[in-house]
Amino acid sequence: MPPSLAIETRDVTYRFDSLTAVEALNLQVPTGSICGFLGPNGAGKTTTIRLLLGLLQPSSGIILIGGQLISRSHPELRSRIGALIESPSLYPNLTGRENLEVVRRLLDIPPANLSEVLELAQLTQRSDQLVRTYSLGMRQRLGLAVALLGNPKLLVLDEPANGLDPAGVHDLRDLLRTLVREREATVFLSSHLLSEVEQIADHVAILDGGHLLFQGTLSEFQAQRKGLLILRADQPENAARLLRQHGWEIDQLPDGALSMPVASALDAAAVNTLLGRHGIAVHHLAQEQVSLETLFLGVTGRMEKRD
Amino acid sequence: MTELIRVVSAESLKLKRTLALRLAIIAPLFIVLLQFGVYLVRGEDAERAATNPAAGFARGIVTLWTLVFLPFWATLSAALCASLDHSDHHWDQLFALPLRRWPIYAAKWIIVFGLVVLSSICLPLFAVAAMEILRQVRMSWRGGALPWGVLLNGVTRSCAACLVLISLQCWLSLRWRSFLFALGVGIAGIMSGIILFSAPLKFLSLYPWTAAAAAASPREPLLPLIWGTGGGLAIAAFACWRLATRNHP
Repeated sequence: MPPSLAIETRDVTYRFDSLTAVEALNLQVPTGSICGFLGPNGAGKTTTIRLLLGLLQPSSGIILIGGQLISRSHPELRSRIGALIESPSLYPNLTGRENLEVVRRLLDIPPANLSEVLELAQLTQRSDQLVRTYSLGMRQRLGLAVALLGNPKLLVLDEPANGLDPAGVHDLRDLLRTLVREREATVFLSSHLLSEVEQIADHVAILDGGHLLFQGTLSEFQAQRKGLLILRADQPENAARLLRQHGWEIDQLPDGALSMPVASALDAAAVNTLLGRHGIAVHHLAQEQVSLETLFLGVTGRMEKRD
Repeated sequence: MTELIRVVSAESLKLKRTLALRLAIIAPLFIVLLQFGVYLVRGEDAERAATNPAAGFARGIVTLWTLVFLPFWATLSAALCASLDHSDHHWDQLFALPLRRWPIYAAKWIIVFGLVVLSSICLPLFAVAAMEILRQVRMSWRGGALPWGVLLNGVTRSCAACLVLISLQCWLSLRWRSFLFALGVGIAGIMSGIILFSAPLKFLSLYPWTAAAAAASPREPLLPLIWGTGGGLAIAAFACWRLATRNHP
């Protein structure tokens, strides 16, 4: 039986004027997962999030949240969603507690929820101070508290770590993990920082130019990375020619070393044997892992542009 | 309906510690102090000819209020209330909540109208307080009745007729993020209203920036009242529909 989906988009396209921001997007986010939504700036992440929240109407295609069609005329479905869109939307003239009270009144939620989310966001001590005195990290936490107030089953966060210091990012990760564990929520968070997503997400979706380039579990994404073999030999030109003749993809590095993608350590042994048989002495042979960043750049086609 | 009440309740909380809420009390106080200062400075001799100087005092306040201050206050309060949500993705956050959009906009209208009503309640109270002080210090003021009728008629009629202006200014302020744009349109409307004040009453009754002054006038107040309230509600309904159905950028 396939896993139930918290978010599903079917051929969703969004155009404004002559620009296609998102094209034929088929996104599937399993219930109970933390899904990192990755892509460079301008990839269409925020547009996708605005579509998921019903802030924009797709030009074509449909969006299902928890298996139900989302539409502007049926806002009740959005009671399952908590959202934090880029910077937290707070009123600086109000205290932290009053900011939550605004949303509490809008959603007609019991007052007890207020203290609960303040506790969760570790803001109880400062809740009666004006938001204009809050640090960026506190505002971000309060923004999250606002998103959590309705006890949502799906949390959609657009660049939630923006402006947070390392300690703030760490706290945010802990908070999101707690949410998934204790409230069985699904978290969909966008970021352009792979390192941030790698540490928290169990699913990844990669968007670039409005197209979905990859979606799956983090381990599936990581499985795409092959090792890179770096070797130094006394006749690098001959070694490169010989290896190419045997079907290896060889890159010659500026310092004279050769690099080639390999699937396993067995490949390294085979390369060493081949070169030795042809009288080429190998004095350095090391297998390196491709970083996730390199893989991400490869998936989004930006490696070539950067080089 | 409960949805609208909830949004109005949330909107009223947003006003806490804002300039808009302070100005709702400061604006009528300023006019009364202005008129009070004028009467105090010009001396008692100028008032001897008047049979009831308190009535003149009250009429002066009503004219100042309806022609200049009320249109300006309606413009400013609409711009200030809209600006609360024009920054930091507030609209996105509001529209992402399980609420329909029209109550969110309608609540803004209600709050702006509420601020104008608050000012309109404060104005006669401050005016009466000022008149009581003048009665204590001026012989010519003693004995005459307080002109409650002039004040209350003028203020209630102008408040109702002002709805058309509130609707227009709310629409502009909510549709465009620029605070200065809505304020600029409002000021241009008020200035042209002052320049056109000698125009026929029918024109003044229909011109949104002078409808309040026309309604406060004892001559033919019905047309500006009907247009001000009916037209104001119609514009508010249309604007809410237009704002609620567009893709928010």
